[in-house]
Amino acid sequence: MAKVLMKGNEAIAEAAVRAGCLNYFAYPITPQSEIGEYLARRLPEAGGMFLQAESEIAVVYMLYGAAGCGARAFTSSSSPGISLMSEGISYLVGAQLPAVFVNIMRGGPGLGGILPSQADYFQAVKGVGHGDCRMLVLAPASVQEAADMMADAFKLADKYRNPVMVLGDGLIGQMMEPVSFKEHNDMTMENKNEWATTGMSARGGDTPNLVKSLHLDPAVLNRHNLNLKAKYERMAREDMRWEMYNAERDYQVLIVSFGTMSRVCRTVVDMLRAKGIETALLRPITLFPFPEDQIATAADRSCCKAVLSVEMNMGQMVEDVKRAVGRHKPVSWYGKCGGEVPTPVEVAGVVEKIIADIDKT
Amino acid sequence: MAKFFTRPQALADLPTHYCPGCTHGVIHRLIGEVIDELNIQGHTVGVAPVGCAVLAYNYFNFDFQEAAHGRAPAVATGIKRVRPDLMVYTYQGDGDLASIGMGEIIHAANRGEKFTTIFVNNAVYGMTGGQMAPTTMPGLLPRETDLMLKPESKPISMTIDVSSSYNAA
Repeated sequence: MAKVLMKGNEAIAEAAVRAGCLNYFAYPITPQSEIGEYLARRLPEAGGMFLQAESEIAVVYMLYGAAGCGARAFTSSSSPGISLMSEGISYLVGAQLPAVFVNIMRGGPGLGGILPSQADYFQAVKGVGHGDCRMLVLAPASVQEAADMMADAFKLADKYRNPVMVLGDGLIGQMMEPVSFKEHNDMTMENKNEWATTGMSARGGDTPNLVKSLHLDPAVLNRHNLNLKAKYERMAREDMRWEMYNAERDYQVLIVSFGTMSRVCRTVVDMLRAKGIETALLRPITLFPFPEDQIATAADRSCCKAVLSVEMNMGQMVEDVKRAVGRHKPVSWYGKCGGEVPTPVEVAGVVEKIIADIDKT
Repeated sequence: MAKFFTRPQALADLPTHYCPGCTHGVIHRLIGEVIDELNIQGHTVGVAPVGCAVLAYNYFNFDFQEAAHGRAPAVATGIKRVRPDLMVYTYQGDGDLASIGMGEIIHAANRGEKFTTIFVNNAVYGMTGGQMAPTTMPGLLPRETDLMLKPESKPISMTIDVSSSYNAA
């Protein structure tokens, strides 16, 4: 298909429809309201269902009801709205239901701001809901990737019967870029009659299906949680994604960055290279599962003197980068957490200072 | 000899966990009888609340979803919107419907969602040990929390006010 120029939010909405998702529940919030605006028009046209709920709390349980019937469904929101949904995300994980969440992050805490941010890293990868609860998280770095990841997210949600989040920021949502949409003919949800409340008659049997997360017997709950853990481990084995840039060189600094910020860091690598300074970029594409071993291996290269995590927050992913690298190489953070995007010149300056400081000692 | 009084097909043949004197069993039976009478067992989905009746699905012979506290109307909305051919109902107590879930039931009624709610009001939080509910009458509980109660609270008339299509009490 030919490329069209589209805003990220609208591309996400269109990509969901093309991936066969005809059910959308949401509540408006800046900077992602265009997703709902677009789908309010597009879904009825495609024979689908658009519902603007009374709150994000209601949204997540509408999604639960729909997913519990085996229907492909998604929602989108921004940071404070995702906080309100987090209880329901835990219920979706517990009941093993597939659903897709798009979080177009803005600054926080509290109302924070409405400009681009990556401050929901902790929430998405560590604290998505109460209990032993995890969610696969995809972080797009362009409008094209955000669109492509929608179909991936639905497939992964079905594969694991677990919620999946596409974690973008206000920049991904608001900027316009050329995008082409892929056609998908392989989006049927398999085996839903084994677990979904599709109605006994429709299944031609007399055994009820039950969608629930309550397990009062401690041995049963223990087994249930270990089964969930096995799914999370399978995600790490089969669906972890990352990419490296300029890794074939003898880089002095390894930059770790995701999403929008990783695009800026790619430019930083090019800028420094033109000045004769080699650096490499490791970009986690899935934030959970996190490419910990890949970061450790890249940092272990003898050429690598230091590791820098660049994020649009106060330094969140840097904790995971430190855990991966250990204590034998210095790991630091650089970023902005008010809604501004650090510039390539600014980040390049930080990298040069790190190298100068190490060379001094 | 023909049997004139039997267990409804829509009810499972199990003793319940409910306390002696509790009317959940009677209400479950009435629901089962109606589902049999309407012959809709095969395309009914119930939504269970939080509270004693969270385990209601153990006693019915058809599909069920378990909701979080108060969220049954939102879950029912999600089910009905993607599967309009299913008969969907929620089963909710007064803590669930009239306190934590008041927003969900009012807005579901206001949108004219096409599901049924069985509201079981015992005027108290039963499972957690008898705490005050929005429907508790003054003098019902021997506690100082009584002082917080208004003389009359009206969850059903509130849903009537926002145009649910049918209400019965």
